[in-house]
Order: sequence, then C-alpha cells, then structure tokens
Amino acid sequence: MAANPTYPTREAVDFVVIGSGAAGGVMARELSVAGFNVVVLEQGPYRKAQDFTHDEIGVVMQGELSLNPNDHPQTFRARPELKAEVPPQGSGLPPAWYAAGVGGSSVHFTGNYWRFRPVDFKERSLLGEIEGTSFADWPLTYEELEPYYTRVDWEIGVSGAPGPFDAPRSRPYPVPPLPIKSSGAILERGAKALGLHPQVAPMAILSKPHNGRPACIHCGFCLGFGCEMNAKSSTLAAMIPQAEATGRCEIRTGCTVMRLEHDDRGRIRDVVYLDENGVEQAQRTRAAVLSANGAESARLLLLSQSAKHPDGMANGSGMVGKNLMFNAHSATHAWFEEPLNEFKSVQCTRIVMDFYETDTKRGFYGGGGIDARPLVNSWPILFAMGGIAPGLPTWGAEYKRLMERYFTRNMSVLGNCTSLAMERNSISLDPEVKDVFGRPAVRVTYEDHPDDLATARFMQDQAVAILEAAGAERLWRDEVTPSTGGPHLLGTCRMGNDPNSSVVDRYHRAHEVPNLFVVDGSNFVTSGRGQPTMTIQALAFRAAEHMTRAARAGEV
Amino acid sequence: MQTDQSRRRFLHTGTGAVSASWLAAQWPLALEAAEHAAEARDKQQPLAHLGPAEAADFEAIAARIVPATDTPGAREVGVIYYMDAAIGGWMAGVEQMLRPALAGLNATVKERFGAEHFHLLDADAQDTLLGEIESGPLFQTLRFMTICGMFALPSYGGNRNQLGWALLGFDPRHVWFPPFGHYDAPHHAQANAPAQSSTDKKHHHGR
Ligand SMILES: Cc1cc2nc3c(=O)[nH]c(=O)nc-3n(C[C@H](O)[C@H](O)[C@H](O)COP(=O)(O)OP(=O)(O)OC[C@H]3O[C@@H](n4cnc5c(N)ncnc54)[C@H](O)[C@@H]3O)c2cc1C
Ligand code: SF4
Repeated sequence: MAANPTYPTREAVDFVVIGSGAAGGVMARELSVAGFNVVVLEQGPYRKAQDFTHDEIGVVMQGELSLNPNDHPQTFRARPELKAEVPPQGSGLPPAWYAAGVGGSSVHFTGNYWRFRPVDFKERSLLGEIEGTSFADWPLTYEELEPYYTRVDWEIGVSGAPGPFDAPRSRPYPVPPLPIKSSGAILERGAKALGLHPQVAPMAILSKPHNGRPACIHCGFCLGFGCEMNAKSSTLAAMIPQAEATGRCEIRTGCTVMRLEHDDRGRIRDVVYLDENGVEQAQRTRAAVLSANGAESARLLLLSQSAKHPDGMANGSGMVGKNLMFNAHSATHAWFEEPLNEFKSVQCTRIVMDFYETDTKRGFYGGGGIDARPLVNSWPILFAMGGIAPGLPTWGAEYKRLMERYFTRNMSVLGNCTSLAMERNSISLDPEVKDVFGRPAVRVTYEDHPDDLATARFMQDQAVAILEAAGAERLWRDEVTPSTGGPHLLGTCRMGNDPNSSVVDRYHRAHEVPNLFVVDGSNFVTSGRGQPTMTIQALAFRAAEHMTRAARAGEV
Repeated sequence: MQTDQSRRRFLHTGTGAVSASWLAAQWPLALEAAEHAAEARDKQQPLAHLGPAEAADFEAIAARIVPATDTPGAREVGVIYYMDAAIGGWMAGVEQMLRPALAGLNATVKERFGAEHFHLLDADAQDTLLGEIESGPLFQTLRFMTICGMFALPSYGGNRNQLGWALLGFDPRHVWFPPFGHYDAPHHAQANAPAQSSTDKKHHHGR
C-alpha cells in the first residue's frame, strides 16, 4: 500500500472532502482513484475492524460510536413556533442520529440496500401537487442512475436476488443472498398466505468473499455495531482502504470543520477546521465536497455566513436546512412457539414490497417496504429492558420465565415509509444552545405530515396481518406517534434545476458557489421508502464521475 | 431503519436517572471499575464501594427482580459486583438518589414489619413492598442495574460464568452457520438437497 500523504495546509489540494461516511467514503475513493489529491476531514476517530466489540453497554447505552451528547447537544421542537429544547435526560438518542468516525453511519447501519424505483423520481408529475408540501420531481431519472446503482452493488458489495417488483437492473448482484433467518422465513410464510410477494432482502453485507473482503460470519451484533470482519459493506471496509491505496488521499481524523471560506470571486478557498488538538487550521483547496450528512452539511453551510452569503453559504434560495425527511416507520412485535434465535446473523433476510407505490384509493400519499428482523431484542440487555409484551410482569419469577422462553422466540416487523418534504421541517442553528466548540447546536424542527403517519399505520396493519397469518402466538404494536428524531437525514440541501427552490444542481454543484459540491443524504428531493443509503451512494458515484470530468476540463 | 423508538422506550423504562449522555460523561471511569469488579466477583472478594448492609439490601432487591428458580437468579449471577462497580464508578451519579431512597424504604420496613433492613424480610413481604414502589426511581434504577449485571459482558462485574446469558439461551459465539432457528431450518435443508423443484419459481429467489 502506498504511504499516506500529508499535504501542507497552505497549498491548495484538488479536493477537500468533509465527512467520510456513506457518501464521503465514495467521494474520497473515486476522486483519489481518478488522480486528484484529496484531503478528507472527519470529526470522529479512525476505528478499524479490530476496534469493534459486542459490548452492549459501551455501544448501545453509551453510544460510543456517536458523538458525546454532552459535548454536542442537539435540540428538538415539533413546529417552528415552539422553542426547541435539548431532549430530557433519559430520552436516549439525539434527534439527528449518526455515527462519527471514518465510515460515518455506514459503520453501524443495518445494511438494507433498496434501490429506488423509477416512480420515486417522478411522483410529483404522476400524482400532482400536495398542498403544504414541497413535493417535487427529481432532476434525474432512474435510468440515469441505474449504472451507478450497479456500481454500488459491485464496488460497495451488496448481496441479494431480484424481486418481482424491482426496477430493471443491468447486472446481477455480485454475491448471492445471505442465508434466510427464521424471521425471514416467518415473514415469507405469512406474506405468501396473504397472496403477497415476499422477496430476498438486498443487504450491504457480503454473503461470499468479494473484492478481497470476507463473508459475514453471522455474529449477530450488526445493527448499531461495527463489523469485526469487514463483511458489512461500510465505506470504512469497502472504499477507504482503496482511497488510501492510491497514495493521494490523506484522512485527517478528529478534525471538525467549522466553516467554509470563499475568496473575492466567491469561490471556496479554505476549509477551516479544528484539528485533533483543538487548534484552528485552514486547508486551502481548489474545490470542496460537503458530505457531512443531512444534519451537519446544512449546519455547516448555515455557519458559513459572509457578506456575500448573509444567510449562509449557497443559501440564496433559503432552502438550506429545509425539507428534512426522516422516513416514517412503524414497528410490530411478535412471539412464536419455537426458537428463532434472532441473535444470530444479520438483521433482515426477507422483505415485502407489495405496498411500495402510492395507491390513491387509500386516501393518502405514501408507500413503503416491510421487513422482518429482531430489531433491538436480539441484544440481551435491551430485550430484558423492553422486550416483554405489554401488560406482562417486568420483574419476579414470571418475568424471568418469560425472558427464558422468549429471548429466542421473538421478532419484529417494520414498516419503512415515505416522508413528505415540507419547509417547516428543518435543520437550523439553535439560537441559545452551543456545542463544546461554541458552535450553535443542531436544531431539529419536525412534525410528520398526516399522510406519513397514515402510511406508517397502514403498513403496520399489513405487518399485523402477516404475523397473524404466520401463526404468531402473541403480537403487539408500537403505537405510531410523531417522529422526534431519526437516523435518516434527508432533504436539507435538495437538488434541482431551479436555483430558487434548490441548493445544488443535478450534479450536486451548489447553484451559487461553482467549486462547492454537496453530496450526501441532504440532496434527496423525496424520501424514498425508508432505506436511503443505496441511493445516496449511487448519487455519489455519479457526482464523482461528473466532477472528475469537469475538473479535468478546468470547469471546477 | 429505525431503532430509536425502541431504544427510547428502553431508556425511559430504564430510569429517569440513567441516560445515554449521562453514562457517556461517566465513561472513562467505567472500564477501570469494571475490571476491579470482575476480579472481585471471581475471587469472591469484598465489595469495593458499598457497605455490607446496603449491599445486602440491593442484592435482596435484585434477587426479587430476577429470583433464583430452577435456574440461577441475580444473586447467583453476581449482580451485586456489577452494582458495586457501577455505583462506585460509571453510575456514581445515582448514588445521591439511591442512598436516601433506600433509607426511605427501610423506614417503611421498620414501621410495617419491625425489621431493620429490607434484606431481613421474607420474600412475600419483600415483593409486597417492591410492588408498591415499582414505578419509582429506586426500583427502576435497581432493575436497570440488575439487568445489566445479569446480561452485560462478564467483564463489567456481573454475569458470572455467563450464567445470565445461559438462562436467556444466548450464546456469545461469533461465528454461526445456518440453520439459525426452527423456522428457517427447512429452507436450508431444501437448499442443500441435490435437486430442487420449485413450484413457485417466479417469486422464489435464492436461498
Ligand atoms: C443505526 C442505523 C441504522 C441504519 N440502517 C440503515 C439501513 O439499513 N439502510 C439504509 O439505507 N440506511 C440506514 N441508515 C442510514 C444511513 O446510515 C445513512 O443514510 C447514511 O450513513 C448517510 O450517509 P451520509 O454520507 O449522508 O452521512 P454519514 O454516513 O452520517 O456521514 C457523515 C460523516 O461526516 C462526519 N462529519 C459531520 N460533520 C462534520 C464536520 N463538521 N467536520 C468533519 N466531519 C464531519 C460525521 O462524523 C460522519 O462520519 C442507518 C442509520 C443508523 C444510525
Ligand atoms: S452479522 Fe455479519 S456483517 Fe453483521 S457485524 Fe456480524 S459478521 Fe459483520
């Protein structure tokens, strides 16, 4: 492997990539492989496979893969007229939940990798306006993105098999499906009994060795945890090593970007950050790629105010931070007669996509996909804390008996749903709360559209029907309530052809700053059906290709 | 995907006093204290932090939350060593709540049963009292710690010989092979069979 370069901060590199997550990892690899000098600035640490554990206290309760919430508080409110508050102690996760470190949230994600369907890109044209929302078409089509989905399949590493409703694909999956689990078998049984069409869950997890990485060993500590095998296709495993192998990509960790600064011509010149010792540095660059996710990319632009950009960098449209979408969801839990042993292997092996499209007969916009999985009840502590069906004892001999019987016999079915884009849902700068570096905290304003909640409830009804048809011994619903946060951070720097209603163009270039590209979940125009990352990465491959062409032509 | 609802619920049922952020603040202390507790548990050494009477009360409460039945309970699994390490280390913040709350409980014990300490009562009396305080912070915090002491990595001080995991049927192996459970077994048997005639070819994808 080539030695890692160390670029001087005062000399311009070709690209600075801010954030090394699902999108940033792809950008770092693509741009360095294309021959450019790249500096990646990542606020979190550089953990490797051997640093990951199965420690429920450290990873789940302390959240050691995320930022410390005492140093990096976030605030939440449902509506713009309310005052946002730091969620009370004990409420657990931050409103905008992501992992900080090389690989970003791709390190601890579940790995459900669903392509969008053609309809996702043009629903506004097909369905018409939805009042009070920013419902719009994407400025690109499925057909344009298809080659890049295929690159995600092959270069990131996705296992699967085509399903009956899938969008057309130009190449088969690189590796076969992961072995079916009991939750998948039960979903399949229940769905078939209802005449539905269960299919293999495409997962960003290797079922067979591929690209020099090993297959999954089914350790079971997958969702929420980092993979000790490099079998989960995080960018940490799949992209970063290849970026570093070019000898042109320097990854600086513990470096928190504070703002972007432009020159007299309005071009980004310096990326200002605090290094691992807390010392302010400025990396000079020819172009900047903002891949800090749907919360932090928006915050960074809003923090980068100047005389030329009084409301934040590239925010002439006022759309930076707006149109946040979390993907609505619902969860249904069930117990079965015989052991499932869901503490083994990956989360999901089967999904049901029969309710993907909006059906106007339902009376509301939206659709989604259904998956079966243990959720958090495959972890001993969380199961004991909250896995017992409502109304049953939570301490004493009967509680113990229930734990002994049902730790191995439980599963959940999730409805993963659309969220409508609305300007009132946003990431903004909190006027009072600051982080440890003195930056205004991320303020999340969010209230689901009634159609989002209706979709989630509809999907839950389907889940209940499937679990009943599969012969569940007992089942219960988590009540669908308005979101107070989420791990899908979408829409806050949307792409579009019109500079008045979008932040970046169809190639991710900021409308107002020619050498600034925003490439991450923030670019989404619509939310898709609940698994955004495959599309985030397909967009990243496409963006990198375009940027490479433009840079070579001297057009960046 | 979404786990936050379930996790939020967990942290709520956990206890008002215990939160992710608060644990985070205590974190550097955790590993050191845990190591000590694990050693104390294995060598059956005295506790490092809790006094004998309060330890006996906490352990008695834990033993009602997860009692010994035909399988070991909280006492047998060594939950008190986890509690000792946690209260003396990464959960130090709860001590301010726990001590006066326990004193309050023991005042009731004295008034109603004429005994000095909760741990001196019989199981029925203990259950009656705990039933009255089960939604309060003392009980909820001890429940949370009992569960952690039962099911966290043994290196945190509890879960002696992985007895907590054994009663769940959880096996901490890293490598598994299909079949994983009862319901997927037939699929794998089928997949391994030499010839497979699927009547449902169109919608049946890959094993
Ligand atoms: C538990 C969990 C499970 C999930 N499961 C799935 C799933 O099954 N399927 C799916 O499609 N999606 C899933 N997701 C969502 C998925 O992880 C995200 O959509 C994806 O990672 C977003 O990619 P991104 O590049 O936009 O941002 P991220 O992956 O969040 O990367 C952003 C990176 O930028 C860094 N950064 C931020 N601000 C700064 C700054 N100022 N300076 C320097 N660095 C900075 C961050 O530390 C981070 O590493 C899951 C998420 C979570 C939390
Ligand atoms: S289940 Fe497989 S992919 Fe997931 S963490 Fe374990 S080995 Fe890695």
